Amino acid sequence: MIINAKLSALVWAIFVLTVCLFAGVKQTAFDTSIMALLPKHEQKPVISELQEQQTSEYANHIFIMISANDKQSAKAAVHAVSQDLNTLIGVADLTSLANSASKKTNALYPFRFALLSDDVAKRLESGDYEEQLNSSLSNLFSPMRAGKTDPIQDPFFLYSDLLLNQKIDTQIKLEDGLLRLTNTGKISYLLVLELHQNPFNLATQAQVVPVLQSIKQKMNEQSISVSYSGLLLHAAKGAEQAKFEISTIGLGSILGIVIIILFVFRRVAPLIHILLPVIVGCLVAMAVTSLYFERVHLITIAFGAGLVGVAVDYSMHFVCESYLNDGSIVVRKLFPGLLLGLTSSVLAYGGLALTPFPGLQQIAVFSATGLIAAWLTVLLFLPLITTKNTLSNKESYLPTALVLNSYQEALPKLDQYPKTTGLFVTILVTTCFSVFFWATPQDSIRLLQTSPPSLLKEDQRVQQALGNNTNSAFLIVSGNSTENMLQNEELFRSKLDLLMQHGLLEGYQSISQSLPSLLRQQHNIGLVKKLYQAKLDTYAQVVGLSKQQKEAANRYLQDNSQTLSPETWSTLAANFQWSETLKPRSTGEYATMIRLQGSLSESTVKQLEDAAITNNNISYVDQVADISKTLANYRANIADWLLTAYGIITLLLALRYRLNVWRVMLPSVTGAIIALALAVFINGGYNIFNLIALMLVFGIGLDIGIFLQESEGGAHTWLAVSLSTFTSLLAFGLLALSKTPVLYHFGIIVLPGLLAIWLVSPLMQTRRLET
Amino acid sequence: MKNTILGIILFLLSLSSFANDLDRLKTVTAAPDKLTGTFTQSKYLAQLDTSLQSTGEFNYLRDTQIIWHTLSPIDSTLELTPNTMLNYQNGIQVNKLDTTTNPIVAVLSDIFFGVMTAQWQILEEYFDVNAEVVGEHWKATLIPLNKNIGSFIHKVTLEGDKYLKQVTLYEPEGNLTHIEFDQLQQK
Repeated sequence: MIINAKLSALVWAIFVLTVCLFAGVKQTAFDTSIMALLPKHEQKPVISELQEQQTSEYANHIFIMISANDKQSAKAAVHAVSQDLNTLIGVADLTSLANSASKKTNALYPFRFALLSDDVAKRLESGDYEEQLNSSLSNLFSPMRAGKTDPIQDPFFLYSDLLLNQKIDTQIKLEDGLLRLTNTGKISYLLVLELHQNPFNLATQAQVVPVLQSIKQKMNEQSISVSYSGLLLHAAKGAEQAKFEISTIGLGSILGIVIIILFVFRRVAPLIHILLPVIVGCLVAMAVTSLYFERVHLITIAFGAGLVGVAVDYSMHFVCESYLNDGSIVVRKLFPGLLLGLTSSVLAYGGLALTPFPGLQQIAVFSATGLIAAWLTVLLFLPLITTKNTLSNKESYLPTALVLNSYQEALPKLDQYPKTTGLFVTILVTTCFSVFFWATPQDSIRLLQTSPPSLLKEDQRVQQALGNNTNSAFLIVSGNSTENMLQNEELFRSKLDLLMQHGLLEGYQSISQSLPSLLRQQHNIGLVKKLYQAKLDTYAQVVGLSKQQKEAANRYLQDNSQTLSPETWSTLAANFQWSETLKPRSTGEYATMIRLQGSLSESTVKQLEDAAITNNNISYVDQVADISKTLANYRANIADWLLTAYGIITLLLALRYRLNVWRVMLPSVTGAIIALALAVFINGGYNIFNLIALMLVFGIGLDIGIFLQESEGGAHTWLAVSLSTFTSLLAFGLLALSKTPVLYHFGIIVLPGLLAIWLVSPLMQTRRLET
Repeated sequence: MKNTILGIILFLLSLSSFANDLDRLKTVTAAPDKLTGTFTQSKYLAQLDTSLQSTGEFNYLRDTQIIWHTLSPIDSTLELTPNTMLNYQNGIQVNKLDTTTNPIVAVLSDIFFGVMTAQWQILEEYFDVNAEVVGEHWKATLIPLNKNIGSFIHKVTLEGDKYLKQVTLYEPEGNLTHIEFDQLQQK
């Protein structure tokens, strides 16, 4: 028996070490990006690919805006900053966007017959050649006009019209090999830093952030403003905040736990006995999760820490009981309770794996493996190492146990007051329903924002200067070739133009505005030919063109009506931002984005969505709305599962406890409701993290109920219950002090929830006759 | 070493004489708040080797509006405000351009305002301004700093006394627009 126990303990130890070793070698990255939590489906692959490209563009780059009052110091600053950034080569490199683009001026001149301005195209389409003639003549006599005057090559000033109507204001232009941002008050230039590793890589953060900070400081001293935008900065800030909170709240709670345990047991050994399974549980959970998933999400860690609260129950009960009995007797005595506790908790957490959300699946894996590992450690290791507890203390109660027991004994038992109990249960049920009916769910993206407002503002400032407005909505146009995609976009743009005419849309940016489809270009050339036929004679008369000159003009149009190919277009200076758009996606399809400008009213959004639904090539995407929607889905899923789990576990426990099942269930139900009601009262609503915390409250509450019922109110069981409640309160209740929204919403539930459970559970027990 | 020092001194000297003339120019050419007048424009087209003549009237409100009304051989009006550029043909609006969304329109508007209302500080943003002042009479030569502007304006010369009297615009292809002003009145 003892050999068997030792052997299984050894096997378990080897297993734990192996798993941890493998996980250590794999070095999984951490992730705080909400995008990682979004389920990857529902969308056409080409759309999610474009979105991913968009996201990774932001994730893997740091955009640096350097602004000064005069050009000279701005340029000097750009060079100084570039020099400083060169120290990061290998970790993050400056991209040379500027070099790849052509620097030719008037590059579009050869294509003036194919690329008509919207106004001219409309005019010619309606056959209003007279107006075009008049406009040309007024251009001819006007003292100021864009482009050149050339009565032979461009008598109707089509190039001038094209220049004056170019709507795509990229806000970035090339200036002496530098990227100049044109839409800023000060003289500003842009540098783009490309990261080699993902922005959550801690080593990358540690190397890049100090350099960026010192650059900013140095430049500020020279009154040059440097602003950054990039996921790395947010990730680093989040990591820094987490570190700070771990070292304050975390340290505080650990100290508290150690002091309590030392005070109760007056020896160091029990502290180790209690913490060992928790540590093993966390290690195994962490290892398995990082082996199973590509990246471990921060939310998993936050929630996973909560697991400690449940795992500590097992070891606490074992250690408390080991003061009264031998290891093997303790195992036999506690086994049913431990098994029930584990089964119910694993069921509750593991059920999350059935939801379609990657984030919840991760939490499920993390919790289930962690709990099982902690549980195994309690059963396999603790009997071997807690032998000394019994030898010296057999059959003598710990002093704290006696104090706590007399408090519990002093409390009235609900059994004695059936009417009061009925009333209590009724009130509880009513409150429960009202809370769920009247409380407003909160699914705002702000829940996940850990960055301080100043950092968010700086980021926004840079993005605005880049021309990426705060509007998160955009349209995606796809097609099976570049030409097809452009044609689809042109077709859809007529709808957008209509919205603009009605004042429902401020504007938009799309690729076909500057690169029309070849079909449209050829059509335009046809229109111009008609214009020449209709009006070149009149023009020649007014201007005094000779017959030869008129023929030369006609011939010039015939010989030089070339179209602009996407390949040529993408080499032009203003278009380097769109270069990715012209490449095929992995599905062989092509996709481009129409950026919408200004704020959109609800009815506009509705119209765009409707238009997108009926058109297979158009999709309406709003990432912020999508994230909120995802959070809402997560929340609804967890709420559903929470209720289902309560139901299933109640049934399961009814098999063992029969009618006494209410004694086991009611404490955690009470705690959960009080906690939720309180959170709703304080924050005006509840969110997904409150519900995840409720699962923890539920798990701990259930353990309390089960153990108290199993031991029929033994003094050391009550001690174990109390200790595990207090330690969990210290560990997670204190998260209510956190500034990280996710952690705060976790703590605000755990603190009152556990407290309530501890306070009410003695009321639910059977009255004990012996003392 | 000596050469360098000499170079620096010469450079500084040239800067100061330059600055002086431009400063003098700024004092001589204080443009009135309102001005009306007539113009005669001759546009030489190198390709055709002919000149197109036109005449008309203009008026401006400093910093607010310029109206350039060609009366002959066609009736065409250019109306410029700091934010918009409008074109009328026989009294009907044919074009409206916004300087805020189109950088080229903004540059054209700046230059036209700068030239017509003698706003040298605006012109200095786009041109290298070289000024000669002899008594009341002055002449300024503008060379574009930026090659994008250089692609349609090669050089501009301005001449005048109390008021701007003539403007010549040289285009890169050899085209040349010469404008003379007359009957200038502050009303």
